[in-house]
Amino acid sequence: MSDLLEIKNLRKSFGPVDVLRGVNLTLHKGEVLAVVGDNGAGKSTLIKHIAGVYHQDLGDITLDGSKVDFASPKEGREAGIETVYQDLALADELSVGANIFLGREPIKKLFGLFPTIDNQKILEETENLINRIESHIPPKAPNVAGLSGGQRQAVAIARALYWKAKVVILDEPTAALAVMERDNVVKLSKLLASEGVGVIYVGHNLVEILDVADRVAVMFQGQVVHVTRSEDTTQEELIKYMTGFSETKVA
Amino acid sequence: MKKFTPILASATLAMSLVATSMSATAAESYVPVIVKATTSEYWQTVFLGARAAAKDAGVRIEELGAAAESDIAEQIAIMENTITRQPTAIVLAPTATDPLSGTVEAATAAGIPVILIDSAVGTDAYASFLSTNNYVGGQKGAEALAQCIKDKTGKAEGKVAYLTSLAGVESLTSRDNGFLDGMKAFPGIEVVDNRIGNNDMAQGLTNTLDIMSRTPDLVGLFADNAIMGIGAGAALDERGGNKPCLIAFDADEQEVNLLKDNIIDGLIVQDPYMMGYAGVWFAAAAGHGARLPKEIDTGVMVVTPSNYKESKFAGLLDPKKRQLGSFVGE
Amino acid sequence: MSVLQTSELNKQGVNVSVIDKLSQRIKQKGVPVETFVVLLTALLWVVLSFASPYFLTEGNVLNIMRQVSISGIIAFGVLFTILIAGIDLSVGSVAALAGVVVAKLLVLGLPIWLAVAGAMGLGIAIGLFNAFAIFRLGIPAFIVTLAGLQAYRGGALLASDGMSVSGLPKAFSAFARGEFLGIPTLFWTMVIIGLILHFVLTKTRTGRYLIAMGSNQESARRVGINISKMTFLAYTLSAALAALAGILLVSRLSVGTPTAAMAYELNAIAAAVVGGASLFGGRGSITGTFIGALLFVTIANGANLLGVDPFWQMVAAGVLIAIVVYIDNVQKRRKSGV
Repeated sequence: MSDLLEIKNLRKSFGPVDVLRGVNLTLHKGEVLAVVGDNGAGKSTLIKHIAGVYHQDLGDITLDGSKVDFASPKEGREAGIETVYQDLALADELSVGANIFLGREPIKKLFGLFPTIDNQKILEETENLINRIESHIPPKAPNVAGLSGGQRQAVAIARALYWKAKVVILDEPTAALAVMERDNVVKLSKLLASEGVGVIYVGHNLVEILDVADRVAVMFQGQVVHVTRSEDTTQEELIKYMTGFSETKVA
Repeated sequence: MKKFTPILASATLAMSLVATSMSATAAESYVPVIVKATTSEYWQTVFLGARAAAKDAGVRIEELGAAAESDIAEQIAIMENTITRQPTAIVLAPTATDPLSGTVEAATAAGIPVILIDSAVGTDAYASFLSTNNYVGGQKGAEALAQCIKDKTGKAEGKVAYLTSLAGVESLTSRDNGFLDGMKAFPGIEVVDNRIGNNDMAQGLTNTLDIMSRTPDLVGLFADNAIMGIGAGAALDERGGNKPCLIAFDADEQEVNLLKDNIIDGLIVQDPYMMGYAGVWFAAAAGHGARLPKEIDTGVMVVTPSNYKESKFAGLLDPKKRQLGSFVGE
Repeated sequence: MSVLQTSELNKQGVNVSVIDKLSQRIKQKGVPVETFVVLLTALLWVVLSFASPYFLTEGNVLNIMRQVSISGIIAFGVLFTILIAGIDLSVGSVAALAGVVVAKLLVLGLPIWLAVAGAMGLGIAIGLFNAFAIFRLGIPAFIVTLAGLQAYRGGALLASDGMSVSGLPKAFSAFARGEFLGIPTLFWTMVIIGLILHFVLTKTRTGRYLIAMGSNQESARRVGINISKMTFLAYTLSAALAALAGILLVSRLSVGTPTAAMAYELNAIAAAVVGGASLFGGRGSITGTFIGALLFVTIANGANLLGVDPFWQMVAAGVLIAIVVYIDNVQKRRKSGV
């Protein structure tokens, strides 16, 4: 597995508060890397730097071997970094297809003159995509407002998949979901990785993390304090690192 | 008009004597003229008359009023602020009968004479009241409508309707009542419909078209102010064909145009210029302690396509042409 | 399952299953406001055509067409601001101001096309200013356009000295009174504008982005939609169409009045909302807005033809708005999953 994303000595302060204190982390192509840590450990700040929402004070982010420095989330997105936020960020009044293609609609010319949205193509592609992720989303639903949390999550993930994102960041994707739907998200995350995407999976539920992730990175007080393959670790060990009671961290 | 001119003339004469004798102080007199709304041609004409009187009587006036006739609170506020400034006298066209009574009493109690124009208040603590008799105006409207119908069809018979601009306004209600009572003199004519236009010209237009859809054999229409008159005129113009008689209150420029085009068959014309002119004269006189007649009727006239060119109407239809002779009036 | 059983048990199985499916659908999704309003309007037309022999006469239908045109054009513009979860309360005043300005310019002797262009230009400028205050200065749309409601009306009064402006050329009045193929030119104007806007809204990226923005502004921003452009588009369109409606109103009345189009903003908002637009943004259509405008015009026309007390007519329109806004609220609650 090659290094898809490399983060070196990333530092960020908000006024007097040091939120990131030299983060080092590597993401490989085709893996699910879970990032865990207590509230305030710096998880959200870290992923917002990767997505281009925040700008680091110091340190480098390298994507596919070249340094990147995004001025906005839009630039990050164009470079192939897709974030699926906790609040899902779908336009409720638009259909599944319209959401997947929002901002990148295929165009056909009406009478060879007026550029119009090719809704037929959107519908076909959406149906293919839904089959591909083996989800039960109704492709023709007039809007996504009526979909369940899991279905909406699937739409957001399908969007990332379709647009061939290199890195997909899932920010607590199961936080608002019913237990039944969590398995589906775990399945979709693995599917993304199997398609060659590097997945960063931020979460709290350690059982779920150990199930979904290939590797786990633990953050504590603005640093990545431990990285391990998930089959080599246990919940208890992760909790130790998360709470700062590990032997390496006792100082 | 007949009963009005001599009274006003005598008052004017008496007052001009007073004014001359006290010209030193008169030059510093200050009279606020508070109208219902600064935004209509009618009240602008009142101001024109007031300005002429201010020049003639040598007083300074201030032109005040709310933006909309419906804004009663604003007019009360203007009155309260004015009383605080202790003017010589106040000329007021009250927007509502009872809500303005308190401020009128307060002004009188503060030693400031109040000259009411156009509309009444619910107290008699005022110095003088100059107005059109709206009820009589409505009656004249009924007569003019019946006359027009008779001229067109040979007999005063058929169905008529009337357009009310706003519900619950005293002057409009008086016009409508005068019209309805006036129509009783013509048993062949039946009043079949009444619509309220919310003082919106477009709604006056729509209401007219709907009235005519509902009553295809309508022979006459009465509009109780300029906005309804112009709206109804536009409707008849748009519809074309055989048109019913239309009599409207006031003499807005567009109403006069419609009269000239034979779309409006008669205008019930008040004399807002004279209300403003006489109101300021009376205010100046009252400021010098002159006793004023309690009530003055400034009169209404009926202008038709056949008589509008007569010189006596020129100043009524276009206040800029208004010229008052030495004995005021026409 | 229940669908299947019912249809098997009943001799008229097919019909029952259709009704059953429909009622299930209604239970799941509720009746869309649009459907309700279309049915209500259709019902009203049927009832009125029986209740009044004059309702379906050619003259009356032409009257309704002319009337719905001006309120429809204003409502189309306001719909675009509602779609992006905004509002435009200034349209009535903008219509009055544009009307007074076009009348003044015509009286000054300008050619008709130039006078109209001048008044339209003013409307566009007002829309750009509204959008600037809302988007760049960050003042809520409600506040900006409420201030505009006052200020532009004041402008109309100032421009006209508070008096109506008459003496317009006959050719100018002829437009609003004209007909083409037996249909009033006013109605043609509204239909053409409506078709273009319907096309933009349903077929183009611009329309989709407006809906996306009104639906979830943050997500629209994240996918790179130009929020600024959409805001300027919506408010400029709203003010420009209000100006056009004001000009058409002057053409129809042959006189410019500063007090014209009073409270038209409320009628426009009511038409859009009754036609299925959500005041929370992201939802609404041109066809629905047209039906909404038509419903209010029909109510007023029907009340006039039946000689209903004008006060009851106001009560009926008010009750209708209350019902529709209530339905809108229920939808919003359903949308937020409560």
